[in-house]
Amino acid sequence: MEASITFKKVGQLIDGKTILASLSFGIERNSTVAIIGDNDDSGLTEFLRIIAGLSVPNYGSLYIHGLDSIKRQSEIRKLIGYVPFKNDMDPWLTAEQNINFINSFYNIDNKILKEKYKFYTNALELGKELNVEVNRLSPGVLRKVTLLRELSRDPKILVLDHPTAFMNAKDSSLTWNLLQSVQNDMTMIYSSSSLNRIENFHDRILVFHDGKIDLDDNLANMLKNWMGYYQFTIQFDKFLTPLFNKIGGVKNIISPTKKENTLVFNANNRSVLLRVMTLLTGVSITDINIKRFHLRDLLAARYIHEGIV
Amino acid sequence: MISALLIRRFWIIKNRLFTTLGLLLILPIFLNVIINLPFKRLVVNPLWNIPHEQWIYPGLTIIVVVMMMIPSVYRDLFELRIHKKLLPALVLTPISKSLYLYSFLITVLIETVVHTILVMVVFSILIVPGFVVLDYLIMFPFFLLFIALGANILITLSLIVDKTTVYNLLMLTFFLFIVFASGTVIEFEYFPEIIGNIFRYLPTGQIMQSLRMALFSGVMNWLIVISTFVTIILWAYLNGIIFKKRLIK
Repeated sequence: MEASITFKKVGQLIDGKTILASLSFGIERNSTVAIIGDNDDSGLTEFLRIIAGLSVPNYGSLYIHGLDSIKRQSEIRKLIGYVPFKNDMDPWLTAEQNINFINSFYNIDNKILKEKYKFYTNALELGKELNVEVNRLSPGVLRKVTLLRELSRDPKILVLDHPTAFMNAKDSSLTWNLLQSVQNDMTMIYSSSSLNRIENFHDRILVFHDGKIDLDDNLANMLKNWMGYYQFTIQFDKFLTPLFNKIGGVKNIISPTKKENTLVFNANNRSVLLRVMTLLTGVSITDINIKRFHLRDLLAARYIHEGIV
Repeated sequence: MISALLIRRFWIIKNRLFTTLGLLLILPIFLNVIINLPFKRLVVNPLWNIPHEQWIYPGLTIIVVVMMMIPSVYRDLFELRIHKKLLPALVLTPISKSLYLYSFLITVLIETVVHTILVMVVFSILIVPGFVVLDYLIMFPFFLLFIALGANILITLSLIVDKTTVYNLLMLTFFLFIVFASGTVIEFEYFPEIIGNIFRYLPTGQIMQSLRMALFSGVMNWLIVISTFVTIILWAYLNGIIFKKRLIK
């Protein structure tokens, strides 16, 4: 696939502290990338700001659709839409006036702009709020308005910093549905603290830690590589070490552990449990539990002391 | 770009129409009461034997128009900048940031033209200076030059200062400078010689002297007009550079 965004040894220092450390990777066109990190030092916001063009990296190069982010800045700016975490609208103008003012600088055909604006206004169920001064709108509605502003320009790359923050459940659901409906038309990079949403809405997940990308894959592969899809817990009347050693030799079993009379192990499929069960003929079992792993479990296992989850 | 900025100004004024109109009416009345009326009694022998009303009219008009300009520049380049509103979204647009600032300056001047006409009408009623139409036409370009200089000073201050308290103090100093040290109300002869000469040769002082010379003696000092115009252009260019630097760090 063609690259939409390419990082080449991009680094960023803020007040002498490394926020991003020599990042080199690419993001494919029309793919959806979710990013996760702790809120303080992971470099997540700075990463999004660099892609959006709000920050210039201290070193390294960034290419957007093959264009150098420094030399071809004005061409790149036409391709990108950015929904920042903090509201950036003029408080003295109405929502609609804000949108019209900013979008007037993009040199887009007025008819197309109006069509898109109307379409996304309906999709986000915005109406009379658009004629209200921005300082009187709730933060959740403001995020929908910012999203409307960016989407109505039909960007090729959409960068979203916590797109549904401050939204109520209905608006949040509406926004995620809309983003999912347009995900094949644009490259989407977003951060979110809603791990459930990320699980269902990504082609790739990037986990930032200390300014570096610590994990980079889709959830299925991450789980497969790091802990398996399932966790099995079998409780015995009496669980002896020789049996545990025997179970440890079962093919494809991951991280078997013995805790008194309980056996805990991970695996990528349920057939491993059946193979384990064949070794347990005549052994008294009191309980069996199967748990499907989620992103939260992966992050908890990996960063239990780091505060990511 | 200018049309987009003008439409935006129109929206802001429309959203706060009564405040703007109120200020346009109240400020001239207020300045007439606190500056014109006491000075009329204070200055027994006016310099060059020019009637007090005619002497004070251009200065008072400039003071009101400059005051009316402060909120626009303050809001757009200081308040929105320090609170990270509008300008971050503007940074991401494909337009030239310097060009945006030049367009902003022109927009402020266009808005000021409207303010100037209204204030001139109000002061003509309040002060009754006894000018003829030609006098008003002579004054107008000088007003624009002075206001463009003032706008550049305000823009520079709004771009380089980051603290509200410092900005407020500077605005107060700027206001006092316009009222007392630029020749709008007090003639330079009233100051001690050295200080008077310093104020006289500042661009603001030069423009006020040229205005009165053109108005009361019929002599047009083109050198001052052109050099002020060049100063305005160079200053605007410098502001464009500062604006760009302040937006993208």
